[in-house]
Amino acid sequence: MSSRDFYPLNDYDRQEIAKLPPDIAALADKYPCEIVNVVDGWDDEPFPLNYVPQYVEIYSDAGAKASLCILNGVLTDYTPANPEINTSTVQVIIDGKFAYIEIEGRVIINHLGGAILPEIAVNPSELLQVLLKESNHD
Amino acid sequence: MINDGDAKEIKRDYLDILEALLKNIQQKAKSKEMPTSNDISIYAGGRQVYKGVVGQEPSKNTLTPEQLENINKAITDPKNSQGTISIKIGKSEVFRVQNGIVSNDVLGLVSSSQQKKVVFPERTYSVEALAKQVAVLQKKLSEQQKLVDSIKSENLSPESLSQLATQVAEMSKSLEKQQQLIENTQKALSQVNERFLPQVQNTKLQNWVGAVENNVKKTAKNVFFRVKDALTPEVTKLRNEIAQMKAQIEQQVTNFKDEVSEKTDNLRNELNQQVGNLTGELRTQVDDVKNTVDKRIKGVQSAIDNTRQELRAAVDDVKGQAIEQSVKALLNILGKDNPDGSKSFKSTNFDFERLGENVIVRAKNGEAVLEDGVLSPNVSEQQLQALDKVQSVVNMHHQIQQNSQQESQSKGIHK
Repeated sequence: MSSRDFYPLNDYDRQEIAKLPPDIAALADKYPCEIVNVVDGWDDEPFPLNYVPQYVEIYSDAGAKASLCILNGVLTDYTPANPEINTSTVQVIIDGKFAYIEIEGRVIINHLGGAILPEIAVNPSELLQVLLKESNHD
Repeated sequence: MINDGDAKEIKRDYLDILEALLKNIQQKAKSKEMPTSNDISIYAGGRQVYKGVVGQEPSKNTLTPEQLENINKAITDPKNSQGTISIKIGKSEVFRVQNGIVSNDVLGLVSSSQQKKVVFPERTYSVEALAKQVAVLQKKLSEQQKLVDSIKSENLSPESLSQLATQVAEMSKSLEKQQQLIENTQKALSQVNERFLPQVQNTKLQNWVGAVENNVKKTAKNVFFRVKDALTPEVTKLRNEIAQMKAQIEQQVTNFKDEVSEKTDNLRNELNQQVGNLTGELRTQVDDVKNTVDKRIKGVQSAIDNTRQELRAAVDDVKGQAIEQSVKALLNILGKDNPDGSKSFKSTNFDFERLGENVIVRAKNGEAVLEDGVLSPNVSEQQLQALDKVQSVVNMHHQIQQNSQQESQSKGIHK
């Protein structure tokens, strides 16, 4: 449910992480999953101007389930957290790319560029669909 | 417990599946003229779990057998896969499935028939759909109510009654499910308003996340109240109606049972009565037969007694007459002529007397033993034996006479 779950780093990971700025690489032991993703998205270009994403997906604390996902303008995942949980990391994936990664309030990656974040009108039926699917998976 | 052999087997299966999966991706990529020399990365819910080039030792592999199975399922049966699975070749995402819905499959990993399956979700959740389901239940219930009402006026067979009870029980079950679904919905909707999406430092992102969250919360609130206002009273009403109907049916069943029990009691009483009557009748008949038999036995006994008496009387009669003849002969021989013309003779035990044809023999106490050829019924066996000797005396006398006659004849011849 969080990055505190065991996520082993191997030599390859450590070699790749070592290529990152040391202050970011230093976060690898505490947030290995996020840092591996930082490696993955580090060299990516920002999204071009007016890029319309197919999907935007947000994970907090490297959870197994997305906190939020909008696919083709439709809400497909919505997993809010209890207010007492302090979120340490936020990762935003847009169309398969790590567009934004934030760790302990520090922005590590921001490739949002000119991407247009989709406006959504939440349909009650779709909302129920998402919520009940979530509760069924619980 | 998994032993070493099993563990090796599982590992071999796991490696076989992984190899087949990667080869499939590689071949499909080739056919789409995509570069296959790049790394293939697999993500399970935002976590990189595999990275490597086909045919080489992977640079990263933290895949658990369960994750691999879920990834395999995401391709072979996406509808039943869980969470989000994403596959990239190099930097490009080539496959993505989220909560059973395939949103990216540029390689065509999922067969078209499986794709079709995921296009139409089986179940649609909406207040309208929930309301419709409740309405269906209401309609069913009103149909059942008509049947329940008809029970009161008509004689319903136990089969129909039990069928009706089953239907109502099933409806009650459907309603419970419905209610559970509504409760789950309300719980999920209220959780939406109690929980939060993460705060993001980036203003653009935070504004967007905040807008989505507000939108979702507003919708959830509306839906919550709609469910509460529109469905809850209907469901409560339905629940009460079903409870009432159940009670009515139970009452009918109880009535029916009572009726059956009463009928059984009546039948039992009637049967007992009949059995009682029959037993009485039988007993009377048996008594009658017994009486008849007794009577007949008595009759036979009496007949035997009569016959015996008659026989004895006949024997006595014959004997009496024989004795009378002997007595007559005796009196002729030994009798003393009396002045009244009668003849009499007294032996040790008897007094013999004859007047004309009438012969009377008296015991020494004066009681008549034989009179007019008839033996007295009181005659004793000893007396009879003594009387039997009369003939012997007579015979003896005749013998003596005969002898003396023969003697005198022979004397005469000699003369």
